[in-house]
Amino acid sequence: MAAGARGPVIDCDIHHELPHEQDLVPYLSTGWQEYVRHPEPHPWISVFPPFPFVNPHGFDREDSIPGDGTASASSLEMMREQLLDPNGIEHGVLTNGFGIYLAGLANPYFAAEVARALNDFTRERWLDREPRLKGSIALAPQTPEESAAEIRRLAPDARFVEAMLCTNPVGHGFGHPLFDSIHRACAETGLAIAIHSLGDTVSGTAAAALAGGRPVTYYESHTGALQGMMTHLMSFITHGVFERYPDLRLVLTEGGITWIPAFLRRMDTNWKGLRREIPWVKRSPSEVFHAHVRVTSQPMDIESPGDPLLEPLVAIGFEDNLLFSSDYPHWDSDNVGITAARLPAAWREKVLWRNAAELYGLEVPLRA
Amino acid sequence: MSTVGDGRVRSDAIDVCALEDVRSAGVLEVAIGRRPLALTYVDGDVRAFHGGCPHRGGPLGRGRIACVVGADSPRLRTVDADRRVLMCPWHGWEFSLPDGQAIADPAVRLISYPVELRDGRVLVTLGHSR
Repeated sequence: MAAGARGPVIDCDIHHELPHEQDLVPYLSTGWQEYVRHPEPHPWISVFPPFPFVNPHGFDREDSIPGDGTASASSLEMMREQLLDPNGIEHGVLTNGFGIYLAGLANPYFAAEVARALNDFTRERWLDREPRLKGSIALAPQTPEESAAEIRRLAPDARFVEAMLCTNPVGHGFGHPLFDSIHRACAETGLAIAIHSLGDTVSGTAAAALAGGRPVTYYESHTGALQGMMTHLMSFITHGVFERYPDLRLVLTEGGITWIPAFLRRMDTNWKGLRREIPWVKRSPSEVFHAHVRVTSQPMDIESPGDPLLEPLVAIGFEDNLLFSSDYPHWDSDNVGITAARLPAAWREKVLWRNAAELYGLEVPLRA
Repeated sequence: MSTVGDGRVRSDAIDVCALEDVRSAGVLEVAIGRRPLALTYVDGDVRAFHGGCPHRGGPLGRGRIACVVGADSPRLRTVDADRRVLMCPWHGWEFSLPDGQAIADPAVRLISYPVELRDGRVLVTLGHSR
């Protein structure tokens, strides 16, 4: 499919990275620069928590690695060439790279400083240079009040369209009232809350990476990442977050989609019998989901418009909830044209741009 | 559970129990032939419903009457003493009284039958279910 032939595209999950970890240091305050710069001959400390798994062929598309020692997806020029230009992307939401794992840092004060620095890096090195790009506010939710302050600091910049949670710092789902200050800050500033999957695989996290037992391979960790998304979705609904903040929207990023109809059915069924325990949940979980939750497409385990797994998604009206995402530059990233071809034709406009434009309040100039 | 009549649909009222039986029980399971009924008593008002829960067939006549619980937020849990529900003893589904409407599913409503109180007895007419 030729670029532009399908109409506009909004990509809701583009990972961008620091060329080198040390490139974040100038964005830290003087005091925290001193913290990471150990005197010679000691190495500087890492600004990100360690990632324990190995992908046998690397975590990124091979052609996205610059080859000069800098990280994949750290070059705006390459991102333009490989993603934005050939796919006709009108808006692309940056979601950070290793920055999504900040809640795995042991020191909560340092984590909050890294989040602030990362957001300034994103603004200066990416958003200021490319108007098609939008930002996700990186958060260190070990300190929810500081996260809320960071949301309020950046919300006046309309290029930031969501605040992103990922790694779980306390072992409770993100709908727990411990995170209420983050919910409120997003509701009051009109930003969506996004939850990126895979956050609990880093060292130092307070939540189990997988329900039932820790993964020991990247395969398990990556395949089972949807489990955490179930927990967070159920947590938001159970704690009545959307009853408290009726205009709040939640985005589930990179958590898969085919599990959603079955899980909504389970939640609806148990809600009917256990409503007395959570009487503040006045609508069925599936109603709440349809009104408040959006889900990014990649990884999309739908192979064609005739795939039987699509039928339950059609039945719940999922075309209103689905947002296109590429997950560039990761090894399992998706292509716009191929994703569109795997969906019903009637869904494509909503999924490729209209749902995201409404969610984020983005203007999309339609091509003639 | 007491059983009276043969359960065939008819238009005449069938004597199913003493009023005192359902008044003291709150919820009473009776049957007309093979047809189970759940009788409820709330503040002098007696209702008769089909006794099988529309969810999974639980015996509603062995359920209980409860007040409606609500909340505007998790910290503001309330009990509405003026509104009652019949609760299924199996899966906890709640049906508002007196109309039998499922609290959590607008598409589900209990089948109800006309009740007549006469000389301290409860009479139910199967032929006029609602």
